[in-house]
Amino acid sequence: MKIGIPRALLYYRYHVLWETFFRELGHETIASPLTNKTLMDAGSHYAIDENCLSSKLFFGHVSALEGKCDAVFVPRIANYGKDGVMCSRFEALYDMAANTFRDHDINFITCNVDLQQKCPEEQAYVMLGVSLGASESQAKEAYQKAYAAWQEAHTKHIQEEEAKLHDDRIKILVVGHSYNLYDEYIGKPIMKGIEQLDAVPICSDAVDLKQAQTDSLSICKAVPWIMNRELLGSISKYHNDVDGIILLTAFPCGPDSMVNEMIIRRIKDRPILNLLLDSQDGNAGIETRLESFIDIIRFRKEARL
Amino acid sequence: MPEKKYKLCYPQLGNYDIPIQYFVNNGLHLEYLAPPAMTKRTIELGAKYSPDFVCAPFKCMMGCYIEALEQGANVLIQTGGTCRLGYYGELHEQILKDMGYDFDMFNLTLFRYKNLIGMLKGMKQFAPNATLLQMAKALPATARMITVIDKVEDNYRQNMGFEIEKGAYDKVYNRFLTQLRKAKGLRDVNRIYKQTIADFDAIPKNKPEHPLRVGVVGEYFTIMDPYSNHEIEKKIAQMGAEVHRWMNLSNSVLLCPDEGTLKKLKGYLTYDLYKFPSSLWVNIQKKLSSKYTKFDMGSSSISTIALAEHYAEKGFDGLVHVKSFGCTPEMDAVPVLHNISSDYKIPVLYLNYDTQTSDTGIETRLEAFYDMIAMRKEVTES
Repeated sequence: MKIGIPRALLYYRYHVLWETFFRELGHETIASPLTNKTLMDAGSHYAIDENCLSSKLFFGHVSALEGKCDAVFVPRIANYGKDGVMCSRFEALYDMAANTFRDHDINFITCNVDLQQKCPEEQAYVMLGVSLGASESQAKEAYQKAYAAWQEAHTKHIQEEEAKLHDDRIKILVVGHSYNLYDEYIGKPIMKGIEQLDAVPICSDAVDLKQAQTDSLSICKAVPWIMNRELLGSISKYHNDVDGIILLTAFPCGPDSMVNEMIIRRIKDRPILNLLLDSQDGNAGIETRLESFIDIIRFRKEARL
Repeated sequence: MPEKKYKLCYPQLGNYDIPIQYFVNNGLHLEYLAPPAMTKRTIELGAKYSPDFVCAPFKCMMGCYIEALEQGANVLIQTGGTCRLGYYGELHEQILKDMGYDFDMFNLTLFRYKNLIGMLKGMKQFAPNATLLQMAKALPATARMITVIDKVEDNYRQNMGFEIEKGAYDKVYNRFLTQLRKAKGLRDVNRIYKQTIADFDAIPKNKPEHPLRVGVVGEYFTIMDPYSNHEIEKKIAQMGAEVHRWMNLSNSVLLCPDEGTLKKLKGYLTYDLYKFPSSLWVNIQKKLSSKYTKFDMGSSSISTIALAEHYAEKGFDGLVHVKSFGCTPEMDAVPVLHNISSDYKIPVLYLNYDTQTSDTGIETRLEAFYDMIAMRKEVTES
């Protein structure tokens, strides 16, 4: 079976896990193309207009997979129990996709991770594997291999980002959800912009997920969202080694709307730039803000030397 | 050490300050400061000190807190819940403290009370003299007040559009609220309720056999607080329609659609406060809406879908979907509502609230919607 994976939202967090899992079970996977203008327009067409930019892109990516595969994989991930909840968007994603594309020729497959309702991750993937025709033990093995591969890839990623800390240039911690940081249309231009200004961007997802959970408590205690806790953890981890922090948010992200405010109120010893991205074309405004932000950091640094 | 005098406050939510006040006064023996009625100033204050694109309820509550603090409240209550509501408390506290107010936050999310008993125990922090027994004693009347308010409001919304003498329903309704505020116990509440319903029934009405029926569904806070939603229910009702709304405190928290007493009791005792405001009976509603959704879509969205389908099945003439701008769970329910609308051929009006929403804009849209469903009904009936 050929399984399509939309290159949006949790793809950037879990793609190694998903791709390995399906491959181990003998299925082929295909990811939708990198975000481009056509995909973005398709997303705006299918999604409700006040959805966050990232979810609009998701719908564009789903529509790009129509006719290209036998089924599209859209997991429903509600929470990880004590580790926190996901934004309710991820809780609803499967049903949203299935309802939006009801009259299209797309099959959806899903798995349900919901620790509060006693559906842990492993069980969710095993059930998914079984529904795809594998035996329980095969599915379990595939999940374990996939999990290990994901961990390995993540550790490597952390090492790469940590290595950047030895750079002498200005270092900027870009705090944003991985689906914003690595998207061609949202985060990539900003990363490139920072590099062009002779500074080093450090991605906030390069943290040990468990450790970040604990670290986040040093900034705020009651954040319910697991992914925002990790972002807070990254601030706590990198904050002493970087010269500035950029909060990268897709409008109107629910969790970020509140947690960013908290970060700005509680982190006082590093300059913070709050970048809000919308689906407008043209990057001139963003570029100007980036430039002045990095200029200010540079002047301050030189003045101190 | 002199004991600190606590004055509790919870932001305005419809008329539910009456039962909350009753509980605080009689269950905790503390003073309660009902938040001043929301005005334009409340909303402006709230919007000024809140993050830009946070949902409107956050801003409304912010405004309420500021006004309550100005009047001398010193313990603010915040509930928490599954959606963004789960983070309201900590951010409210931070912003208000940054503004220089001195108060305690009774933040239910932070204390990690697992269930109702845990919550009652937690309240002792502010009410050292109150006993669990006293709290339990005050509970029945509190719960009864909530259900009574909801029942009276249901009746009011479904009939007020057909009164012959203008303002008759309002008069009884306002008297009901004033009396309920003074109620001393369960017996008073029951008496006031009976009297009000009798008064309602005595009002001469001109109600057709098949009146226009409109169902209101949507987000927990905006739907329950008439000031936040610009009194849309009253406005639609006054145009001449029966307005139905399932979502209220008694239906989502107190009354179980499945009436088994034991199950109900178990539900109360084990209700995980984390899941608030998703309905206590979410599993039942999940079954009801299984035609459209496979999973719980978070927060109040499952009730929205289940009820939208229920109203559509009953042959209602239109649905109004109410939510604050950016409310993720309700936004996620919209594709499902689109499908319900096209399957059952029922028009849906989507209303989206922010702190800038103007009264006139809402009225124009409601009028157009009402005219459309009224004409549609005429055509289909003839």
